[in-house]
Amino acid sequence: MNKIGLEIHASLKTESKLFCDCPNDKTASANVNTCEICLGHPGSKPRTNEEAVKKTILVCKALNTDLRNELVFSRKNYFYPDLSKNYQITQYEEPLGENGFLDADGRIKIKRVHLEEDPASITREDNNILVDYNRCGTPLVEIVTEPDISSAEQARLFMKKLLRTLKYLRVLDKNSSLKADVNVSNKKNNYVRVEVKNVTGFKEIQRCIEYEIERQKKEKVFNETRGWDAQKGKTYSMRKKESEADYGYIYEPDIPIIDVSEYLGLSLPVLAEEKIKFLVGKGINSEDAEIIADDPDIMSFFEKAMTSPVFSAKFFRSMVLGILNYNKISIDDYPPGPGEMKELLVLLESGVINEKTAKNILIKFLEGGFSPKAFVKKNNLEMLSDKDIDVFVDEVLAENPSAIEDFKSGEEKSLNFLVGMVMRKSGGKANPEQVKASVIKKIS
Amino acid sequence: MKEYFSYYKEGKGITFSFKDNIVVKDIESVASSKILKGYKPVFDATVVTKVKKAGYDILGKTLQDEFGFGSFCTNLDTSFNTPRNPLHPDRVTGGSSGGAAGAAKKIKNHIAIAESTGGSIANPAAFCNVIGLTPTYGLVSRYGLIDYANSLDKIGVISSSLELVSLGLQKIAGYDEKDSTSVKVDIPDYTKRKVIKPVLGIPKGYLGIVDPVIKKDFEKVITSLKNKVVFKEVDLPLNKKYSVSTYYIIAMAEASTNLAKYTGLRYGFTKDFEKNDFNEFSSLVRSECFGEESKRRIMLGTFTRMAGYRDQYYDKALRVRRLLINEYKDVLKKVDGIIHPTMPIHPPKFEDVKDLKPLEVYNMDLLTVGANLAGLPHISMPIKASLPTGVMITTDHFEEKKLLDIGGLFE
Amino acid sequence: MDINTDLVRFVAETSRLKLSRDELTKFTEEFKQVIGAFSDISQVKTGGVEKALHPVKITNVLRKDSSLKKNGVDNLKLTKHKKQDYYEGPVL
Repeated sequence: MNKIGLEIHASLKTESKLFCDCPNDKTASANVNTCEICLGHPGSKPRTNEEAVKKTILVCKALNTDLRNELVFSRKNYFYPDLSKNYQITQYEEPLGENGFLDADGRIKIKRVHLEEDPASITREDNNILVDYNRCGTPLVEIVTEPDISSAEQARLFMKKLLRTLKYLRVLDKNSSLKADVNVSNKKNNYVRVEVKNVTGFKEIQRCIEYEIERQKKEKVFNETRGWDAQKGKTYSMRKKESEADYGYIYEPDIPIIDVSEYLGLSLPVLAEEKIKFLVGKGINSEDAEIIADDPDIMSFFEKAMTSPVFSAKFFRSMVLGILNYNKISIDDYPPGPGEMKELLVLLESGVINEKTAKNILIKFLEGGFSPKAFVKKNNLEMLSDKDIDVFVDEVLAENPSAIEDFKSGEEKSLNFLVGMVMRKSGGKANPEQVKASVIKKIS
Repeated sequence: MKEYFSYYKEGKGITFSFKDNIVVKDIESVASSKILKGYKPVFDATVVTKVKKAGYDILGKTLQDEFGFGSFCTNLDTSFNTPRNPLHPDRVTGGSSGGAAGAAKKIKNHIAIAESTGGSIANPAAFCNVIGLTPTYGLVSRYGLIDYANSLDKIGVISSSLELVSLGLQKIAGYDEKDSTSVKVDIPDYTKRKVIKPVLGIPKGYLGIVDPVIKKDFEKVITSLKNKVVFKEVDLPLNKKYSVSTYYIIAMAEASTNLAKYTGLRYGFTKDFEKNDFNEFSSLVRSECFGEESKRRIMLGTFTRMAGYRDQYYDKALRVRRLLINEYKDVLKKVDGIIHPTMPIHPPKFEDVKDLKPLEVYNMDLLTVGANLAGLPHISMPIKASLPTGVMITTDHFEEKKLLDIGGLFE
Repeated sequence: MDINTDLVRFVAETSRLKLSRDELTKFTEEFKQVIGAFSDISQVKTGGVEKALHPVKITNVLRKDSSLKKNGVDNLKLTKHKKQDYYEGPVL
């Protein structure tokens, strides 16, 4: 029996940083997005970003927490060069959200959700460190669970669901990965708690939990802080915990208590669970529905492009998502609009084109959007009608009387030969199944 | 008069100066601390921007106790001279805004922009026989003020006449979006005076703790104003007993976090890293640069917010603060203002302050910390006496105009 | 309460201050006096009293989320500890 708790940090997507108007853009070159406020120059003062507050409230709501109508910031004091002020402005005794939950193969209680500033990034060199303050002061939401997770699989489900929820809320900065501090303990060791600090990325968090569960089955467990070596896929001891670190919290005296009651009425967007229900209600199998609804952008695109649901879902899952994954792009970066995709679906579903043509069009879409209908017409890619096929079949049968004889005497291969001849004559635009049916009908 | 400045240049007409802890772009602004040596800010404090926009000449930056930590302006980095009392050169100017008070006394038509956390405007104003006005917390933007204690710091004015003090306040008051604790209020014309007959309360027992000469001089003034003012006794028992402790606990807790940012890395004093790691380097720089009083307040402040002590000191002080504010507000419902001597002593001689124990110094702030802790506007007016002496008047929040009108009765 | 040199040394280390033996002795004595005096606030009954973080009521302080283009690299002129466009610091 394991007890796993997570402290997850997610970067919020905003225009500007949490306490100053520097762009919240972590891709900029070093220290460009800095000013007197995020660099902690004496005399500068923080000004709280409204959007970051709203987004944190949305996260609280989606995680079913109680909400405070006051936003209270504190100073968490410790000396470290990634903090320009040697304290972090965060929330301490009064987080925005408390006592929430998220269901993932059982209920996982959410202890608290709060808003804070991200520290800078540090690069270690041999004799010194290099600090880039672009990230310093950008908004983070911290989500802390109770140790309610009991297995690596449940942790994976929880993380997947949480990530999906954050995506649907449209609060995540896509240029940043989720980070987590992972607490793992098990019954065998009387739940002696190990904390693995600062694991970056969904997959790494997953691997780290799996590793730590296995390690604790075998090794003696101490109350300690460990790190995660992603390259080796192992956790390692950083320090034994004598006592809790003392951060000497005080209230942030440069920011008054902010009344946020006017934002508490913010309504949540439709979340993934409801979208999945919607798709399943249309007859789509739950596996396809889960995959399509996993990403809100894909889901919204799909809803606009959908023709008959089951057919569309199958096509999306096998073809469209295949193209996106293969080319490692998001639906936003894929040029065609949902209208163009819908046109393609109509062409395929009504048999005007075959799957091969459809796939070629999906690939061609990578270069830019266009009307599939016009494209098919211009390049003469429509499938042949039954009548056209019959004409070719008649011609081929007339030209190959011996093959007919062979077929009649039980030679199965000659059927394939005849179908192949028809396909060749049609230039590949006939449906082979239809051709086969027509041949059999005519010679038997 | 240059002895009151850390940076000085000539100017014409009505001139302004700024206490060294108010940052001026490209001008060394170090709050008299070695740890900020060489720091030339990349931005102007909001009050500096306002005065520049109004077109006044700025004479420079005035000396102060390091980060505002002091009552005599004798606690400066050794690279600065210690300002002397303009009337009695063997005595201190008072602090922490000692340079501002000295400049206001010595320079004609000068408005010294100063700052008070627990009495740093009233105290030197009284010791230098000038007028010092500390406005309501939040009336004047703190953007660009090198923080001592953010929930207590207030930028105000020291000058030689009420006319100049009110002009100075007019130029710097007003909401500023860059300071989240700035308050949106209508700014009246502070420069217009009205003759009023106010009711002023004298807190019970406050005269018992001041120097007998000061008590006598104060009572003389009261008697002379009997026809213009209604005096009555009021009571501030909690403030009398607990304001010094409450003030210092909150001020030091905040100060100790504000001063954490000074580690010799991105601005100010620095040295080579040599073989030191981050902790070692930070400790070396901080130990070398901070003066004794700064170290004391950093440590006391760190202690009062440490787990295990926080409830008893920092958190408790925040609750007591509420009671102290309420006590003032209740009294101010019954009177227009509260009046008492500004300081319990005359400006001491330099040799007499050297050996004072920290607690003795902190206790001398008793008369000024209450109003500061409650963020109430107050003014120190000089009175006739053998040695510099001031009376301090306190009104309710945002009643600066009334405060100036009352001040007019003492000019 | 027990204020001794160990406590004061711990506080100094937490504050990143190095104290000489004389300083430690002196500060410990002062700590005893000052903290002793500060402890008098424990006599005040504060049950049900709200903390006063600021002396006046302050409202409406959220900033609209818009950004300004920055050239923050300029701020590096304030220090000699830099390499290319990075701030340099001692090892951790």
